[in-house]
This record gives sequence, structure tokens and C-alpha cells, in this order.
Amino acid sequence: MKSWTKTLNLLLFAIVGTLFFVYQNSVHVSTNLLSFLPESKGKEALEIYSHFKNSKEILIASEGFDKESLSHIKTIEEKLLASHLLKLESAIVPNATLIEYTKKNAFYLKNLNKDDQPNIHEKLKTLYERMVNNPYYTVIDANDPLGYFTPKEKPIAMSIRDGHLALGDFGYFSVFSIKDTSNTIESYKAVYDLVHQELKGMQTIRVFSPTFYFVENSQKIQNDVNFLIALSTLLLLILYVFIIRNIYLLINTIVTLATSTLLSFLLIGMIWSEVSVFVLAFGNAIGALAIDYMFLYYFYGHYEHKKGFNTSAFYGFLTTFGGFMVFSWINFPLIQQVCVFAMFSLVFSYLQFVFLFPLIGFKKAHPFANFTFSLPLPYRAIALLSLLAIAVSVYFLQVDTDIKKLDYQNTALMKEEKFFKDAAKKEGYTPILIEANSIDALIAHSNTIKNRFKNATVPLSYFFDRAFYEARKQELEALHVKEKKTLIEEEATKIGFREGFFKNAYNDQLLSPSYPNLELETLNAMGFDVVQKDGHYFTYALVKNSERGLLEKFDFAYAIDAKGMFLVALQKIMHQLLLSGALSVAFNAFILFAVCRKTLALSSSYVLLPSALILTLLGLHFTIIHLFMLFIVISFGIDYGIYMGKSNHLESETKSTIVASLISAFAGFGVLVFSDIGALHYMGLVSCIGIGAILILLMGRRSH
Amino acid sequence: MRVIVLCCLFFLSLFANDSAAFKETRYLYALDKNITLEGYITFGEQNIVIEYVKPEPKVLTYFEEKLTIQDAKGYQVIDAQSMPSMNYFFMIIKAVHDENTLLLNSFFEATTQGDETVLTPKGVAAEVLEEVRIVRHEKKLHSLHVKIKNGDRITIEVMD
Repeated sequence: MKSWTKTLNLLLFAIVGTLFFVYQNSVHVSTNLLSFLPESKGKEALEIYSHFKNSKEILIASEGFDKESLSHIKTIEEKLLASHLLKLESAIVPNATLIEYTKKNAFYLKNLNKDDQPNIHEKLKTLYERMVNNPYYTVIDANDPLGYFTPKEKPIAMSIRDGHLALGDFGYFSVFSIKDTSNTIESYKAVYDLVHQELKGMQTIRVFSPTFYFVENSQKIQNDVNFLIALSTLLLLILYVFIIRNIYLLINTIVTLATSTLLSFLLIGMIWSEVSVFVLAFGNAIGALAIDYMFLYYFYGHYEHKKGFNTSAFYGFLTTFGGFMVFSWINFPLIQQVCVFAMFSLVFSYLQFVFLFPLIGFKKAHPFANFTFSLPLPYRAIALLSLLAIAVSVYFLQVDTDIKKLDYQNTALMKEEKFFKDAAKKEGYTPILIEANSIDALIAHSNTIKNRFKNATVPLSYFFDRAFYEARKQELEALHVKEKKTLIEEEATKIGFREGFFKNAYNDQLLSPSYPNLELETLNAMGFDVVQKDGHYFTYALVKNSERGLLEKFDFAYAIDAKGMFLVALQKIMHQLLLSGALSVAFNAFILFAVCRKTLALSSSYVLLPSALILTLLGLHFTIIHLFMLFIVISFGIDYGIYMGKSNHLESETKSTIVASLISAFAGFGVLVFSDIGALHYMGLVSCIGIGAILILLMGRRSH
Repeated sequence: MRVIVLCCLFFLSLFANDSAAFKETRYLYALDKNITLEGYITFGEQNIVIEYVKPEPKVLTYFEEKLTIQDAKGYQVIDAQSMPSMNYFFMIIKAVHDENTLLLNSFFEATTQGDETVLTPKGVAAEVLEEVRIVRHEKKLHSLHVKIKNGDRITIEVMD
């Protein structure tokens, strides 16, 4: 019986390990923070926008306008196009379908000077003189000798130098789009590798693509998480060797934590098709919390002799588990995943440490240190002052909703992005999504945006909708140009034009072409970004940030903005978050009253002081992660309050347990402070402050 | 004003680093008429300066796709990108002068026979141009003939 129970833990691990080995590929780990935001219109917009080639362009610029620079850019173009992964989206290359459309509908695509009542002789004479006297070669439009039509203005025109696209004064410029429409990290990675391989060693070349963020950040996050897990595991291992000092127990503890983590990972993989990589980093830290139960049982000799049920450990488990359970109801996938993972992990670890380990049995080693040093701390005053500090900090609290701060700050790539945006004069513009239930309506909406937003770039406003077509047709009829054709030809010949040169001017095909019903495929073939989803059509535009407020008037257009989307998502869940927070605090307060009524000031100070310090020190830039982590710190702070309240606090076992727990909590959560990823760094920062506060309290004793 | 323009021409010719006299003949199909201009062309590092002396003194400066025209009436700036034909014209003469085969190859298929190179436009250039012919004498540019799709012709002859 005894030998069977001794191997039970390893058997469990073997089963879970096998399951993990078999099913691990079915769980997709994602590094994209945005995919863990709640479903919303904004998230859908972002998803649709990712299908536009505009969202995944690759921009390459070669410095200078000399032969060498031109040679560089041409060579790069050739090499990249040879891979068949990319398509050149150069503005100067004509699109045959678009040229045909433009020729056919020239009178409908240009501005009409309908108020101009031209004197035919004067107009033709001016044309003649321009051709003869202009020092530069001048071409005239034989279809519009009276000059009724002028081209539309282009707000952000790309400049062309030596027949090549130019990026401001920097140099030659090429724009590529990715042929693969699958939007997978693998396809982005293939393009990333190809581009960087071809540009290797070229000093005067600058390159950027929004897709590079996915590749570089993903790699960086993955590396960062791996590093943190390794560091944390190593640190925990070293600590446990010194704290536990029982190699057999150490092996069993590691096996238990590994079993809990793997099983939790598999279970959340069954609930969600995509699991955030942050859950992995967080899961490792949760293991550090779970080990508290083992410390309590071990230092109190539960594994050596048969003892009664340890209520301190149970209440500690209950408060932490309860805290995560309360937050798991929040409609925010990232928080839900972290909470559910923590709940699974805590339950499995608790059950094994509390029920399985006493059966296995472990000899207790001498406490690793005696904590006899103590200060007379006024816990009541600390609790009251902390409450006051919390009230003041909450009043001045400033919530930071910038989701990008939670992600990895890829400064090198951000610098390149800014360079291209500045040079192309696109800085200060927000992409917006325009939606309609038909292509005609989409064109109409695009023109509405174009007319309403003076500085907007709206590609689809190049076209006209049926209502415009009918109106322009009537305007053209009102000009009666057909009646003027004979006079134009006569006058032109008199002035000196070749006979019959204007015979095709204002012809029927140009004055009244049939309405061009544009199909999705035609627009795509012309190079325009239009996608169809669930019977709706979408396109994009760029509007100035200062004019974004005007968007609220239109129900067919909305900004594609991760920050804004996060804000909306946050607003939607804020009441849930606050309600969960209040519930969690109330639950903790109830436990405190129920369990530590006699030591309320002492026990509550383990919750209040960490909270007060966190809010005071970090309250001016408080993100959702800070808030969430604050509640976690409250949950584990209360554990220590209970341990200290339930025991004679001078008892070295209790202090040993708490010091061991704190060190392990630092090794679990605290190391996250070294992360370059905002979300993990904030988690680490909050927990470090919390751990520091608890450590100070631990050094104290009640003033008698 | 005419004196100022002539002074400008004089100073430009002083600073010119590669100046040549030329004769330009434009055949305008719309008018069925030839127009002849004469002057000097100067290729700078970044610009092209054309100084017409006949029929009237005028200075054209082509710099960063902008054309500045100076004459007795003052000056005006034109965005060359809004006029593809003119833009190609300047691009071609600059490329021919710089012997920028890379640039020429982007827009033309070149066939050389003796002293004559015929450039057949491709892609975007084919929308506007019909043919470009470059004639060299003893490796020096002798004349440039541009046929435009609308029937116009431009011939530039370098004068000795």
C-alpha cells in the first residue's frame, strides 16, 4: 500500500504527461494580445481590415536619387518579385482595367465647371496659343476643347522621380503587398525572412511592414516568456533546495506542479481554441502560489505525523480560488483564460498537497532559518493609514487604456514605421472601415466621407454611384454641348487646327456611357481594397486624427483603432470588473471577519498596506493589468493575514512558511518585472510592491 | 525684364557644367505645324536647365519633377507629374544624357544598329509614347527623335 501511494504522484504525472504529449498540438498558443479581446464591432473591423492589402504592405526605400540608388531598388524589386510571394503595388504602373474605365467615364470622374459659359472662339484660340507659345511641349484634350472638365485633386499624391515612386526627399520607394491572403503568422514569417535575406548588408535601405510586428513581437514574446519561465523555474528550484531540504519532497513537489500546469493547460485548450502565451507565464507564477499549501503542511509536520485538517491552508486556498472564480465571469477572454487556468492549477495542486502528500509521507527538515527578529509595528495605525491612502489614491486614480503599452514595445520597428509615415505624410491619420450592403452604396458612402472629411484619403471615392451618375448625366445634357460641336469644328479650323481634329469631342459615349455596374472582382482587379463578408461590403479610408470625432455622425463608418477598441471593450467590462473586484473584496473581508476577528487589524493590514502602496505608487498610470494584479495581491495578501492571525506570529514555523511563500511568490510573479512585455512587466511590478509590503509587515510583531 | 532674363541666361551659362546648343523641332499633329526652338541645354547634378533663345528667350528649369519657367513676364511653376508626356520627355533626355540604361530599360526595349538606338516603349510609357530614336555620332549624342501616340513628334538636334 505504502509503495503504491509513493508512486501515485509519479503515475499521475505520467498519465497527464502522456495526454499532454498526444494533445499538445491541438492547443494553439497565440502571442497576439488583440485576439484575446472580447468580440465587438471594433474587433470585427480590425479582422476585416487585416484582409486589405493596405494593412500588410511592405515598404522599401532606397536612399538618394542617383543611379546607384535606382539600381538598388530595381534589384530589390526584381529579387522579391521572383519569389512569387509578393506583388508590386506601384502607383505609376497603369492598371489596364482602370485605364479602360477611366477613359470610358472621363466626363463622370472629373470635376465639372458647369457655371462656365465659354466663348468658343476664345477658348480655342487660347488652346492654340498654348500649344504654339508654351516653351514646354503641351498636350491638349481633344475630347474637351472647351475645358469643362478638370481632374479631381489628390490629397496625398506620391511623388515620382525618374519614372520611379519616390518617398519624399529620401529616395526611391517601392510598395509591395503579400499575395497570400491567409493572414497566418507563417505566411508573414516567410515574407519577413525573404525580405531580410534580400536586404542583408544593404546600408542605405529602409524597410517596414505592419506584418513585421507580428513576426518580431511574436518571436520576442515567445523568447521572453521562455526566458521568464526558465528564470523562474531555476530560481524556484534553488530556493526549494534550500527551503525544503528534502530531495524526495522536492521531486514530488516539482512533479505535482508540473502535473497541475500540464493538466490545466490541456483543459483550457479544450475550452478555448487559442490560448494566450501570457497564460503560460502566469501559470508558472500560479505554481508559486500553490506551493504555499505544501509549505504550510510541511512546516507544520502534516507530512510526518497524522494531523488534523489545516484550516489556515484551506482558507488561504479558498480566498485565492474564490478571487479567481469571481474574475472568471468577466467577459474578457484574456482574463477568463488566466483565471480559469489559475483555478484549475490551484485545485489540482491543493488536492495533491493536502490529500496525497500526507499519504506519501515526508520527513520534516529543520527550519531553514529562525526568524526571531521583529519590530513593534502598530498594525491598527498601519491599517487605518492604508485605508486613508487607498481612498485618496482611488480619487486620483488615472486609468491608462493604451493597449499597446501592454504589448511588447518594439521601438526599432516603431521608429521605422514613423519614418515611413512622416515621409509619406501619413502620420496623424487613422484608418476607418466603411461598410455597405452593396458596392454602389459603398461607393456612395466613400464619396460622402470624401466630401465631409477634407483631408481624407478615400480610394473608392475615385468612382461614382448611380445617384451621381444620373445627376451628372442631367448636368451634361443641360450644357447642350452636342449642339456646339459644329461650331467648335468650324472655329477650330479657322484658328488653325487640323480639320476634323475635334470631331470626337463631346461624343455620345463620353456624354452618356451606360452606368458601369462594378463587381467586387472588377474593383479588386483594378487594385482597390474591397472585401465582402456576410453579404456586406467593406473598404477603407484614412481620416485625419483631428477629424475623427465627425465619424460618430455616420453609422456606416468606424475607426480601426486597437486603442479605441480596447477602450470600448474596457468600458463594456468595467462594471463587471468593478463588481467582481467588490465581490472579491467583500468575500475576503467576510473570511477575515469569520476567521481572524480577534486579529483584524493585523490580518487586514496584510491586504491594506500592499493595496495602498500599489495604488499610491502606480495609480497615475493604472492599466487593467495593474487592477487585475491588485486583486491577485489582495488574494494572496489575505492568505498571509490568515496564517499570521491564526498562529502565534512569533512561531518560527509560521514565519518560515511565510518567508518561504514570499520568496517563492517573488520567484513566480516577481521575476515578471524583468519582462519587456508591458502586461507581464506590470504584473511583476505590482507583485513586487505587494511582496515588499508583506515582507515589512512580517518583520513586525503586535505592540502589546 | 528682357535684360534680366538675358542676364540670367548669361550667368547660367557661366555656371553650366555640361552645356550644349540644340535645335528642337516640334511637329504638332493637332495644328499640322512645325515649331522650331533653339537654345542651350545644361545638365546639373539634380536638374536640367533649358535656355531657349529663339523664338523668345525663356528659361526652363526641371528640378524634382517641377518645371519652372522664367520669361519676360515673370515665372511660373508647373507640376510635371500632372503632364505625363512632358514628364517622360524630361526623363528620357536626362536618362540619355546620364546614359542611365537602367532607367531606360524600365520603360523601353532597346535595339541598337550602328549609331542608332531605337527605344520601343513598354508598360506605362507605351500609353503615351510610340517610339524614341537616339542617334549618336562618334559616341556623342547627335539627335533625339520622340514619336508621341497622339501623332506629335519632337526632334532635338545637338548643334556643333
